[in-house]
Amino acid sequence: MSDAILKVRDLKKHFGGKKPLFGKAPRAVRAVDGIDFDLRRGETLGLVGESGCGKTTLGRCIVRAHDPTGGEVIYDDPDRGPVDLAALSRKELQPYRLEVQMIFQDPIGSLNPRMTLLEIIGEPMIVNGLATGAEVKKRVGDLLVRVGLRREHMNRYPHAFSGGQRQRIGIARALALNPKVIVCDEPVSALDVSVQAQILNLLQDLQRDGDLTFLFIAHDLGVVEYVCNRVAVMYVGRIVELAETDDLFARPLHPYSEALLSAVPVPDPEVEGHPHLLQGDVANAVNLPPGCHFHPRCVYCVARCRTEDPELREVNGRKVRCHRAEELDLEGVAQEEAVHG
Amino acid sequence: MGSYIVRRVLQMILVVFIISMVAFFVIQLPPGDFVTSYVSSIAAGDRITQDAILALRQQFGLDEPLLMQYFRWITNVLQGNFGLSFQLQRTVGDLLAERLPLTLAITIPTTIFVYAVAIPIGIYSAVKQYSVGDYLFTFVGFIGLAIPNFLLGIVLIYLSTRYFGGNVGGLFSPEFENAPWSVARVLDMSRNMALAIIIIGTSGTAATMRVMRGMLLDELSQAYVETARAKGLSEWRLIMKYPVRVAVSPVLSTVGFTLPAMISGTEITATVLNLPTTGPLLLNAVKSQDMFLAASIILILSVLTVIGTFISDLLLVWADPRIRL
Amino acid sequence: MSEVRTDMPAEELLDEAEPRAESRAAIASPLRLMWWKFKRHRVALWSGYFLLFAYLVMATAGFWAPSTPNERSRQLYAPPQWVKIIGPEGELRRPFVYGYEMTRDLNTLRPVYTRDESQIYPIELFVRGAEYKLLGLIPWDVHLFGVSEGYIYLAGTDSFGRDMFTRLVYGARITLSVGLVSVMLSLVLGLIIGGVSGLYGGWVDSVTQRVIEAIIAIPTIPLWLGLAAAVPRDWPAVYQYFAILVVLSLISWTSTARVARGRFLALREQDFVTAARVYGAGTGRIIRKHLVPNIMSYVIVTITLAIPTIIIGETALSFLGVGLRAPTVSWGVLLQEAQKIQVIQFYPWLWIGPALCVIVIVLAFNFVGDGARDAADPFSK
Repeated sequence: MSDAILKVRDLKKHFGGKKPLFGKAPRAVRAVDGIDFDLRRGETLGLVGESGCGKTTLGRCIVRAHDPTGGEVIYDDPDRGPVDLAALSRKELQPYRLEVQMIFQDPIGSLNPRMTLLEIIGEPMIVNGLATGAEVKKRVGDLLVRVGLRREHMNRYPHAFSGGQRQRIGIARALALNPKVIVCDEPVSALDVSVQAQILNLLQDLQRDGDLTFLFIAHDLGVVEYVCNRVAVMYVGRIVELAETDDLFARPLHPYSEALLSAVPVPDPEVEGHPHLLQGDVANAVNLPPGCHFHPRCVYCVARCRTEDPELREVNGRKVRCHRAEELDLEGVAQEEAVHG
Repeated sequence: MGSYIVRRVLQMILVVFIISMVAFFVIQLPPGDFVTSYVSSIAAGDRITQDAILALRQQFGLDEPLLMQYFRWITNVLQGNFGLSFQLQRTVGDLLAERLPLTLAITIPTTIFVYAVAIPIGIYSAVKQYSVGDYLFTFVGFIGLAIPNFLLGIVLIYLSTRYFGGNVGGLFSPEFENAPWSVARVLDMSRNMALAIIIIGTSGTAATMRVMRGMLLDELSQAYVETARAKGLSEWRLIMKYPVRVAVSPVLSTVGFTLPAMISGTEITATVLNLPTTGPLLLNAVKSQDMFLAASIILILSVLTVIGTFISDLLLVWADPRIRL
Repeated sequence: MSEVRTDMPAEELLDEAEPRAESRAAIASPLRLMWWKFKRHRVALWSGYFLLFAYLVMATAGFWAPSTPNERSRQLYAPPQWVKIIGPEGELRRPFVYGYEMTRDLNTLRPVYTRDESQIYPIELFVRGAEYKLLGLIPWDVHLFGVSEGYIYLAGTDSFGRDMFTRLVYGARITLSVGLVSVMLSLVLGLIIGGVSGLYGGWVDSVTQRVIEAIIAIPTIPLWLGLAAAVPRDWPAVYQYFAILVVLSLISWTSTARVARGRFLALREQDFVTAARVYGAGTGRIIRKHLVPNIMSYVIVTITLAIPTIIIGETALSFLGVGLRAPTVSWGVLLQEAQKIQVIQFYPWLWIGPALCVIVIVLAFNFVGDGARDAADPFSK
């Protein structure tokens, strides 16, 4: 469980900032601004944060849907040895496309409405030369069964399916290449709660059977607690805390994590809520505040926070980006009976 | 607002520059050059010496490379010198000064007519959707859209000569043609112009009416209309105050398409109705390959369209603060 | 605290795996769905059938016309004959037309035709007559209808005594094909230019956008006139035909390009395109399999709405005498007659025929376009 299949080092993605024909160059949007973490083989690492904090961009940089501005994404290939995916050209990347795949948030936009399921799920195999003709059909059928649909569905178009079913189709497409790592970009946030559970269970089953590693992007902490082994909390393009799920939920070290956790509703009328409501808006990724990026919204802010940008550092075996991590005693959420399946 | 205007003006200059290239392209397109067509237009009996031809070429700079020719032409145009009409042996500037005012005097009222008629009908059609009136206007709208305006002109000429014994066409009726200016003559002229406006405006009105109807129908199905109704606002006030205002500004912003269409309509209808606009002049120029004249007319009409669109955009921004600067 | 339920009953899971739509809709392709929706628009559907028929007539013009377009007769400026089934004595007969007796108006010297009830020409079906080439290939001489004695002019004759009905049918060949071919040409231009503009973005996009803006700002008729002027007068008819095709499409590609660009811009941000990139599909494949099929419905709508503009354009140019020219027969060429005030006034069938044809075809295309737009995207909203 401990060796890293994917090492992300100082990954950066800035948008814009090019000088136009007239006038001054605008400041770049620093959507992902120096991210470091290891993805361990077989784990599910959660990635949480508010909308616009760069988590989706980070996921897309890892699968190279975006070209990162800087940094490394080192994939430890069992056969070919470690390789920096971020540095490869499109052509060199092609063989590694098989290893890292993605599941999308939007069950409507992520499936081409003009293709049948056979075409949607079969195309990755054809493009990568894994199968042809009847073999494609057989494999697509197998995949459909594996994600809980039926073989006969392969001639239908996506419009004939509900949101949850479409998400299953998206999962089947991601599995078509037999990847080792799947980036799940909020795979259940667009679904009804009852359907969410089915999809999450499906993902867990697939992980157990198939030696898969998930990077699980979400903003719903309930979902994260349910499926993730570890959690990374992001704030405007950076990781502010990275810890085991249980540890983080029991006692967050970063004020931002605490604020996020306090927003999680507790389904117990006995428990009195103490929401640490966040003040103000998410920092502007074009024009970041000096010092700690979180300080304008932080209730524990001191003078140092306003001037000095904290590093991501080890505290009690966890990683946190806060000057006052040791001295603060932050509040987590009461643990439910563990239901990790 | 200031920076918006600056940006729009820069954009406009670029567009006008491209238009000038298109116009110059039109000049260059016919095989041979002006001198060839000039020579061939001169009576067959007259012989022109090779020297004379060469001298003509030099005079018009036709022996220079294309880029130089464009540069020479555009500098002249910028100084108000549009060149010479071969056929009419007059400067293009003079001819434009003679004909352009009437083109504008028809196009601008027609554009106003189109919106003034189409918007109320569109509102009526949308509010009373599926009523007899709506069906009637929809039907008339489709027919209006399908009849090219020059055909409408022909129909009108036919009807008036056949059944009213009148004389359609020209700016004046025959009895006023050479009469001195008088109230009656002005009335006669406005009668003829009104006819032209109706003929040219019909298809534009039909199209705009459909757009207005569609936009307002979209707006009427919004929740805020229900809310306003639930609050007890009177129906007409409610409709005029909110949905109409929202629907009307995208309709008005179609002026960028309407204006060139109106000019097109004016030019072709003018040749049918024999109105002294730039239309018949252009047609003649085109037929005799009098390219300086033809290109200048195209250029000037297009530039006027761009300016017209620009002005209407500014008015729209001024009237509708939601449009982002 | 977690809102997810883990104890989902098995039946419900099974239920969820059942496609929600009935099986017919489930296996229908999006274009088929569009067709179903289009069919519900009655007027559009019938207009569509009518257009198909019109194009069929166009392709097999020789069969439908009783004569050939350049065959002259002694009946100059004869008005249309009416098809009758009741004879001079009030008796019922098979459909026939009366012959004409021609006199001249002594003041104007115009021919005046009166019905000659002693001459009865019964109309026959599938008669042999002038030879023509079916589809331009197969020589044949059978015409849908005709008379074996006398003459039949359902739409009158022109100054050379040529049958206007025949000329209208042959005119459809040129006018309708100009519309279709020109639109195809502008479609190709528009898709490529709009596609490149939308896909590459950046300065390529800005320049293309300005060029399109410039072309839209130029009033079409003047520009068409200017471009048409460049077509040499002495070119053979076929060259002229293609030159006019090009002139017409040089302007109308802008609307397709705008639609294509807008759709491409929206589509390339869609997740299914990202997914295709992530599994390694190349740009060419993405364009072919993911982008183009998804703009097809919009393209269909744009071209049905663009064809009428082109048809009106051809008509207008030919009418003004700078488009197609005789001996080519198109509706616009036929309308040239209406440049003469005497024709407008005294021989109205010479221009009413082609005018009606243009109006009806344009109307039908507008209805079809309207229906297609409503049916365009079953997935929008």
